[in-house]
Amino acid sequence: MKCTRNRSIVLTIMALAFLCGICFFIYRFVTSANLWVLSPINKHLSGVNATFGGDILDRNGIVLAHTKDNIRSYNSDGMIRKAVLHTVGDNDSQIATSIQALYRDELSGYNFIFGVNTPKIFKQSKNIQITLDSEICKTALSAIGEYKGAICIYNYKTGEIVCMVSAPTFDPYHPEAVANDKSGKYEGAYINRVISSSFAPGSVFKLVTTAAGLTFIDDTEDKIYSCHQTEIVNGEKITCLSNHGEIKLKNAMMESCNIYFAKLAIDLGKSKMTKIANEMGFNKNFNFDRITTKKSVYDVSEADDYYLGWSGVGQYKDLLNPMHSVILMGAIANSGEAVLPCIIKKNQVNKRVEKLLSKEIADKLKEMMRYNVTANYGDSMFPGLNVCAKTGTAEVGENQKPHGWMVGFSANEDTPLAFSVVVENAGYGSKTAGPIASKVLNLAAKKY
Amino acid sequence: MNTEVIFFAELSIKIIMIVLSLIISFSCFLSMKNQTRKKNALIILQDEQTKQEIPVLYWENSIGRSKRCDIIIDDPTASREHAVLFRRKDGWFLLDTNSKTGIFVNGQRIKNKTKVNVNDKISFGSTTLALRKNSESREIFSNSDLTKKIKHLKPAKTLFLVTLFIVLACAQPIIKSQKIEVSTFILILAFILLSWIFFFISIFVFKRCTFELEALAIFLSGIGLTLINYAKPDETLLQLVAVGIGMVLFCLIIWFIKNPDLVCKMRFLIAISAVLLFIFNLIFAKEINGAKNWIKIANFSFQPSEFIKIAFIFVGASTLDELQTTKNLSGFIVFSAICIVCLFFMKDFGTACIFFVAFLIISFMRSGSLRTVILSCSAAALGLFLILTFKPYIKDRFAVWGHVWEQANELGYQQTRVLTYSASGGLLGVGVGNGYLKNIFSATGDLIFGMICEEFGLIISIVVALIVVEITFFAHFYNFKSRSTFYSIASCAAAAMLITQAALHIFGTTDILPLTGVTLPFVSHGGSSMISSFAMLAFIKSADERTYALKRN
Repeated sequence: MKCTRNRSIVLTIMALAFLCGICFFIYRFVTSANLWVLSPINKHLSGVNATFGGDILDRNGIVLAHTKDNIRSYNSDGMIRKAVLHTVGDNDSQIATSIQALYRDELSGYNFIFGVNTPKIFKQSKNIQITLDSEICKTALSAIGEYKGAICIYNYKTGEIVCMVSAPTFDPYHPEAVANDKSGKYEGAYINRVISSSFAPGSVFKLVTTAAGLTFIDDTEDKIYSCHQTEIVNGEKITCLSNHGEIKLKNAMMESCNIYFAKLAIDLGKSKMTKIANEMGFNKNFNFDRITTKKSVYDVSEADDYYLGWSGVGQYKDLLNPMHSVILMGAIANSGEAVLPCIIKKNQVNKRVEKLLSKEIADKLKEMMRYNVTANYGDSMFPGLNVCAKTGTAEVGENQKPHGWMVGFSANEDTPLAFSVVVENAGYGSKTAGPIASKVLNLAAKKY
Repeated sequence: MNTEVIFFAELSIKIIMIVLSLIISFSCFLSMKNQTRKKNALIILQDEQTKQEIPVLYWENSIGRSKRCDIIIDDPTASREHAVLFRRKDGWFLLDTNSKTGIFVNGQRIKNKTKVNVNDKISFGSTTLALRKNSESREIFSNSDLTKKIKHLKPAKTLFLVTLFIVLACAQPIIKSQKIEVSTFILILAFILLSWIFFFISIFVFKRCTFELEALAIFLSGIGLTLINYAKPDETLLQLVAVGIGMVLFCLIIWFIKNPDLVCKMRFLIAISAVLLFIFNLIFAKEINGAKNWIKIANFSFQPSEFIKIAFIFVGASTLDELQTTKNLSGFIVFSAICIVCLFFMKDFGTACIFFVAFLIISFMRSGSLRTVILSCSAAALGLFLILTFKPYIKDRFAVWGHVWEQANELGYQQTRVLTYSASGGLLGVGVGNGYLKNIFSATGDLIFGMICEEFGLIISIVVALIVVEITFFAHFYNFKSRSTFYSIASCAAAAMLITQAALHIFGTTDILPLTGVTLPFVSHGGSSMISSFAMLAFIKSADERTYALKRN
């Protein structure tokens, strides 16, 4: 008997191990319950049960989302509802990067003791004020019209995002429109294209190639390449819009000469191009206010000279995330240092800065981008704003119209706004993205 | 009623329920030692020459020169393990365990099991001992002073608290809807009635004086039944019937193993029928949810592996006289190997794991050698390695372990729901019937721990886990004064099975261990599981010497 009695100690060891497991579970519960609750699978916090009480306000205090009697209501203006949808969110948390999805815990007032059923008197559901201006967003949405695309404006001094619109969008009161759609009109409506998409950048990428040239080749600005509309590399043709002849960097940028930048990229080589692209924020995510942007891509690891040339003018595998493009514009405007954006309005501005470029290169790019506007696009598009910009037209395959881009910023001290506009399958950047950028930026500058 | 009144009513109910659950588990724990025998001798052996008295403390005692024996004889002519002296219903018996010099009772050499009476002289080698009555305290079952002191109210009070808890749990949906529909909770009332019938039968018919284990089991099954009642009302009746059958089986097993020698003799038969049941299962079972462990007869489906658990313990447990005479474990090892291999073929890895732990416990309890345990573990590891090499798809089932959020809608579906809804419950729970986890597939079975967290709150779910630990401590504690090693081994194996099952369930659903889809003992929906849980409890109960020896007047 004594021996079996003594041997039964293993049972106590098992019980202790079990207790340790329980303690571990409690520890995990205490530390991550608020994250578990956040998950969009939680039916306590979605759909008809969207009892999270906090309001969402825009920068001017206009109510964008509000709860009364357990019913979530949104702004009364249909266009505003649609324009801010991707930022504010929907009832079913289909839009994963929206405030209602990412800040459920604060909006719902999750309380560790009561769980989701926290009574009103104990509920500390917070209102969240965002940095968007709903009026500017509305204008942006009407400007893009029926096209798909993304529009973003942010203040490159404070980081506040003033306008963030993704099209196609839908009315949060009628989410069934997306589910029932067969025409493709609502394709990708749940994605915030500013944050979660990347597009072929086209000529916008020439800014990166220029930066690489300025870094590694001493006399790049005086370097002359000749353009004869086509150039044979490795037996295949790189094409340009017109025959630019002998051309220097500044004019090549203004005229957006493909051959010049393709040759420059080939002369620089893969590793130097990749190094500068990575420094400028390609192949990485940006994180702010619980949001993670989609990566921009620059990958020439398998490219030969022909494709390396195309990669230098923003084709091949190049992809650019609209939010990244705005951050990049902010960096150029701020002498190389980008203020990371924010979407939640805070009383104390807590700036996070990231260096993407050296000061000299940023200033040279700024000068060239200013020249683009004065010599090509026309300063009348942005009267008095002293805008520096670059357009892009990205070929996205046969039988499809190219994506039109326009990125840039106002260099004025009192209107420190950087913008990016991308319009899918619309045609030339200057003709499609240009007017939209002009309309939205002029309004934003006026309201500032 | 306005919403604030309802809110405070709900809140106070939740708090009272938490307090009740703590009182129930704590009072059962405290009464564990209630009315147990003090550490005094049952009888006394007196050395004829030196007149030195050796107290006999246990119901089964090994006698010999070895330090591991219960009664140590300092005599070089005695064998290391010379004999076993044990108590059965008819009195004290002596068995020679293959000693070199033999045993003489009153001068007669004995061969088989022999009854010894008071004042008989027993000779081992050159030592002669006389059996004497203990003058200080008499044997426990003739101790009438002790039985008088039992408080009749104590077990009833615990069950009353359990009843109150269940009533309050059912009151939550009524307050919420402000409608009283008897049909929605009639089965819960039936359960309460059943538990009180069970209580009166065990107190007044079987004259038991302890009810802690049963009260805990009723508490757990009450929680489970309440959850099932508001999640799947159609299946409550079946669960209630299973509880009833479980209670009957509980009594039957305690009655059946009253005489451990008889069970030992029937062991071979039990082993054969268990193996046959497994083979029958493998041939006829259909695959449900990836595991081939269900047999359907007419409209009833059951899991044979749950019943084989009971057989496994019968086969594994053994009395001390048998342990000392047959030291060979090979029969049991072969039986265990067959069981575990069958479970692997049935793809029921969770149950295979439970069997393996029970096997380790039993073989360690029987042989006491760590070598056996290490050998078995390495054999199991090798077997597992071979299986994973030849059938790599098995690995995929567990690949999501630790990465459930990355595959929240595929392989991590169940675990992520459990975590999210557990967190939604907070410390106090969202209230019975208000959860969403119940809509997930097999929530009341394999994921019921998450449902407890969501609807009853974290505190009560931790109390549920602690009750399983408590039952294990009971098993360990009873071992000190169990009536036979048969009961010791059986109770330890049963407790090990219960706690392993609970661990696999709780940690599996919360992504601390890989999800294996085992049930939570007593709580989960599932007849076979409920019945076998009560059977396990019977083994633990039988190890308590008060179960058989102490009767009410």
